[in-house]
Amino acid sequence: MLEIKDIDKIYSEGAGVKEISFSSEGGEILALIGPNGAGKSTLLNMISGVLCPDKGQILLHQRNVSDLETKKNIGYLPDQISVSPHIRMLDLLHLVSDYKYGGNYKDEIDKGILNYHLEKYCNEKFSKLSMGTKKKIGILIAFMGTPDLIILDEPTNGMDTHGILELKKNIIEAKEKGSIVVISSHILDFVNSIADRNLFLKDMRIENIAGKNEDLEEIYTRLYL
Amino acid sequence: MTDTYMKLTPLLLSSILFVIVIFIVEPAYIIHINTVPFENKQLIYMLGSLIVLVAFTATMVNVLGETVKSEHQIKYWLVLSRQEFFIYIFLKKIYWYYLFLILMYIVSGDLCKNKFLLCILLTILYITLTYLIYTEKDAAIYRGSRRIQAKQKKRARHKDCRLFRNRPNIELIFLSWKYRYAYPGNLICKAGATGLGIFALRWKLSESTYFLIYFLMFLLFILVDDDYWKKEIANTPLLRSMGIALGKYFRTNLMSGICFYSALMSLLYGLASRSVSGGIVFLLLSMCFVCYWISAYLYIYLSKAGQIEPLKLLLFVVALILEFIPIINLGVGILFYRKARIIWRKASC
Repeated sequence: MLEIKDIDKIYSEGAGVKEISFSSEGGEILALIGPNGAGKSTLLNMISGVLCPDKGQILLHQRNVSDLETKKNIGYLPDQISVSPHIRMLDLLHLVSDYKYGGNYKDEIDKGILNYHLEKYCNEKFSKLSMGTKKKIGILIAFMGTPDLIILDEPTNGMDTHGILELKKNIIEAKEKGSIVVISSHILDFVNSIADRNLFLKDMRIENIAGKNEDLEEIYTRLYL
Repeated sequence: MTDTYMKLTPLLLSSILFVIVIFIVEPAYIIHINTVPFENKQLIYMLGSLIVLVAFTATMVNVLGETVKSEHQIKYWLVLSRQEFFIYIFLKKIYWYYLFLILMYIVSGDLCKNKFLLCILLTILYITLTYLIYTEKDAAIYRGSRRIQAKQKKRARHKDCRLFRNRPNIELIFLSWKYRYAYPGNLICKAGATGLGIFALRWKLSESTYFLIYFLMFLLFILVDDDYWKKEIANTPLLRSMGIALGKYFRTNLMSGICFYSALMSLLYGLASRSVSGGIVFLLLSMCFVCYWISAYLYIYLSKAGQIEPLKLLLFVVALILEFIPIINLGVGILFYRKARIIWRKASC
C-alpha cells in the first residue's frame, strides 16, 4: 500500500508541490497530469525516494520510501536517465539485475530486449543511443522484477508506436500482478486508456481527481486554458 | 572573491609545482639517473621523453575529443572560425599545457642544456600536437567517427557472457574491471607500465630499486584512473535510486581495482625480486593503496569538488601527499570513505 501524507516540497515561490495527499491499495494505475512546471517530476522524485519532502511522509507498506530496503521494491524511470556514457546497453541491464536483484531476472531482460526490438543495440554505448531507445531501456529497468511500486516519468517521450504499445501492455500486466503504477504524461489519450485515477496538479496542489474514462481533455481545458 | 580564488588556484598550483620541479624533482632525477649503470644517459632521457609524450598524446586525444564535442555548439553560436575555436579549446584546457611542460621538463633531464630553448620547443610541440588532435576531432564531428561507422556494420551481434549469468558478484567485478580498459589513458598507461615492467626484469637491480620502480608504476596507474571515475560516477544516481548501499559499490570497485592495478604489478615484482613473500607484501601494500584511492575518488566525485577542476586537482595533490604518511593515510582514507557515505545517503534522503 502506498500512502502519501500531506507532503510539501517548495523550491521557490510557486515552484514545487504543497499539501499533497493520496493513497493506493495496490493493483492500480495513477496518472499525474499538468503543464510543464506543475511539479509532476518533483512529486515522482519524492515518491521514488530520490528527493526528500520538506514536510509529510511517503510510505510503501508502512515503510518510508527513502529506506534502502524499500527502494529495492520500487522501479523508477526518471525523465533523464543518468548513467556512464561508456556503458553498453546489455551491461547496464545486467548491472541493475546484479546489484538490485542478486543476478535474477536475466531471462526477463532477454524477453524485454526482444519485445522492445532492442537486440541490435545490445552492444552499443549508452551515449550513442537515441532518446526513445534510452527510454525503452529505462522501462526495462523500472519493470525488472515487477516491483510493488513502479514510477514512470514521461515514459512516452521520444518513443515509437511499437514501444508505446508494448509499454501499455507492461503497465497493465504489472497492475494485474498487484503493482501500483504512477505515471506522468502529457498525452491525455494514452493516460485515459490505462489510468484508473487521474490527478491534476495546479498551483502546487492536486486540483482535481478524475476517474476512468472521464473526459480528460475537457477537464484540462477547464483547469489550465 | 570565490570566483577570483577559483581562477587563481590553477595558476598558483602550477607555479608551486613548477618551483618544486625546478629546484627539487629535476635535480634529484638527474642525480638518480647518473647513478644508474648505463653508458648512454641521453638514451634514457630520450626513452623517458618518448614514453611521456606517447602517454600524454593518448590522454590529450581523449581530453580534447570530449571538449571539442561538448563545446561544439559554441562554434555555431559565436560563428567562430576553426582557428578561433582552437584557441578557445586551447585556453579552456590550458592547465594541460602546464602539466605537459612540467612533465617533459622532468623527463628530458639534461637532454637540452638551454632550458629557455627547451621551453620554446616544448610549447611548439604542444601546440602542434593539440592542433592536429583538434583538427581530427573537429572533422570527425562532421563526418562521424570512423570507429562508429565500422561498428555500425557489426552492432547487430547480441553479446552476452553466459559464464557470469548466475554469478552476480563476479559479473559486477568483471564489468567494473572491463570498463577500466575503455579509457585510452588507462589502457596506454597499463600497456606502457607492463612493457617497462617486463623490460625492467632484464636489469639486475637491487630489491629496493625494483620495489621503487614497480610501486611508482602502480601509483601512476591509479592516478590515471581519474578518466574512469569521471564517467563511472554517472552510474551512482541510478544505483542510489535503487537502494544500493555505498559499501557494496565500494567493494565491487575495490575488487576490480585490485585485479586491474595490483595483480600484474605484484606478479612482476615477485618475478623481479624472485621472492614469493616479497610479491605478497607488494600485493597487500598495493591493495591498501587501491582502497585509499577508491575512497578518495568516490569522495572527490560525489562531492561538488569533482565538478570544479582546480579544486579537484588540489584535492588530488593533498591526497597524493598524505598517502605516504603512515597512520595519517589510514585516517584520511577512512575520512574520505565516511564523507562519501554521508553524501551517498544524503542524496538518497
